[in-house]
Amino acid sequence: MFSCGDFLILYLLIELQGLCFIVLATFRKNSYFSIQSGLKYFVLTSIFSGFFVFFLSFVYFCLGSLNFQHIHLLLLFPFEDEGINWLLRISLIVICLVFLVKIGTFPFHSWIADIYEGAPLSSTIIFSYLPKLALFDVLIRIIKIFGYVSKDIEFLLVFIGLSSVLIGSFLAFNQERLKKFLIYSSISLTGFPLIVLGLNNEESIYSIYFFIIFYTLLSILSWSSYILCYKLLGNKEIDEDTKPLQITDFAGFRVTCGTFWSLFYIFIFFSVAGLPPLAGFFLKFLIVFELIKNSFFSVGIFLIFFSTISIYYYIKLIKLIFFEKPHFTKHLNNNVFESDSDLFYLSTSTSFILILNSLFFFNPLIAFCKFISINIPF
Amino acid sequence: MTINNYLSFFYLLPEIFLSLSILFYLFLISFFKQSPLYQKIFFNTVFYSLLGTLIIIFFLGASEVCFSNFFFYHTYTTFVLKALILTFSILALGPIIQGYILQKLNSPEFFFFFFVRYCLPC
Repeated sequence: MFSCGDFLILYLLIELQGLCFIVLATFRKNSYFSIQSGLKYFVLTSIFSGFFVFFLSFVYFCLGSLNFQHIHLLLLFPFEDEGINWLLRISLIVICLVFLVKIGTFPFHSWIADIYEGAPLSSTIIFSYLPKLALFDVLIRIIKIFGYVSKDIEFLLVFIGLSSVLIGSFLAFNQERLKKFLIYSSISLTGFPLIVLGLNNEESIYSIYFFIIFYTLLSILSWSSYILCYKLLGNKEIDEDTKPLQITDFAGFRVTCGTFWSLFYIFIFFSVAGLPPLAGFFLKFLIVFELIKNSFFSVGIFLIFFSTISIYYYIKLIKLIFFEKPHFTKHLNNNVFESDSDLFYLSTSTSFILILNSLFFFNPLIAFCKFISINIPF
Repeated sequence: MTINNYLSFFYLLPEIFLSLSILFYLFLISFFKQSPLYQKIFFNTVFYSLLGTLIIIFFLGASEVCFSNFFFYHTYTTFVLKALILTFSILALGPIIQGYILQKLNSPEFFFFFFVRYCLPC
């Protein structure tokens, strides 16, 4: 996807990934939820793939090519025919919507949350962060390719981004299942780069790459914390299908599992919440900084307000860990360092060290992201 | 046929092959599951998906060779981005395997789909 230069190749690659997504979602053949999730994804993606091809045909009808370079050259200056301009605008909106389905933002948040929730744990971990770097990269290039046409959908992208942050934050508010809480939290976070994309300013694009890199690391840590909770509390008590992990299972976590793991959770949740000087703060800071630089003051203030709301439920988790009485009367699983979990601890500790030391490589990473954003090929 | 027709056919061929191979596999399952032949020969989803994927890679690779810098771009940036996603995939492997163990999904197909069919298109 990073190196494709033609819409047909892009379609083929998205479908290739989508087919695999369906298989991964329905991987637990005996689970009703898993099959339902795969079927939902199949229906959703087939409808939007149909729309994608249909509106690509409009692009071909208007421009006579589906190659990225050709489209970019043809759309440097506006067409005189207003009908063609409208057709291109509608096509671009539908193409962007297809990508938003894959990324999982508003207005597809409820379907996407159901799909992610029903899929097996490993598949949910894959879906929630791995494809996002590639999808955002392609979306950035598409916005860039469509030149003057993309200027007309700036408002739409900002609106969808803001709605994702707002709805993700509010829906995460009342969740009792930890898995759904993490899913809505990720939906809320994916709204941030969309808002910057809506600015349509080449100088701000680097913040999207910066966001996705840290978002991936934070997601790895969030899902690691989910698995770690399973391991620490003992997986005989909790089952993904019959009795899934609840937020209230964190109650008295410090008493049952020790101060070390409680501090580990504090760092992760405060980082995702965006408290300084942790990595999550830099993500949100850069986005708000770019918004203010581009004179989008009201959007920046809204983002700060919604981020403050989201801090509430992360602090609620920390309150549960430290100040509530434990649900489990004894320490259920002391031996978390099993032989099969070497790789897990390697992944988690590497991500954790990277997040903790984000302050030290802040400037080199920004330079790296600027380099990528300047040299985006198409 | 113009060059565009050839190209359309070129794009569609791998998907057609994959669909046919899945149909063929379903046919084999329906008729030969109880036979000793099914037990002897490695007729399972991994085999057919691998075959389909190899064909897709072959066609994508062929199109890349034939129409270099038309369908695909090879710059330093694309290389860096690919390296980045590979690093993330490896970093994410720990939680993915643990989730896999926790839910007792005992099949190599999962890892096949994750690596070959999912990471490759990126």
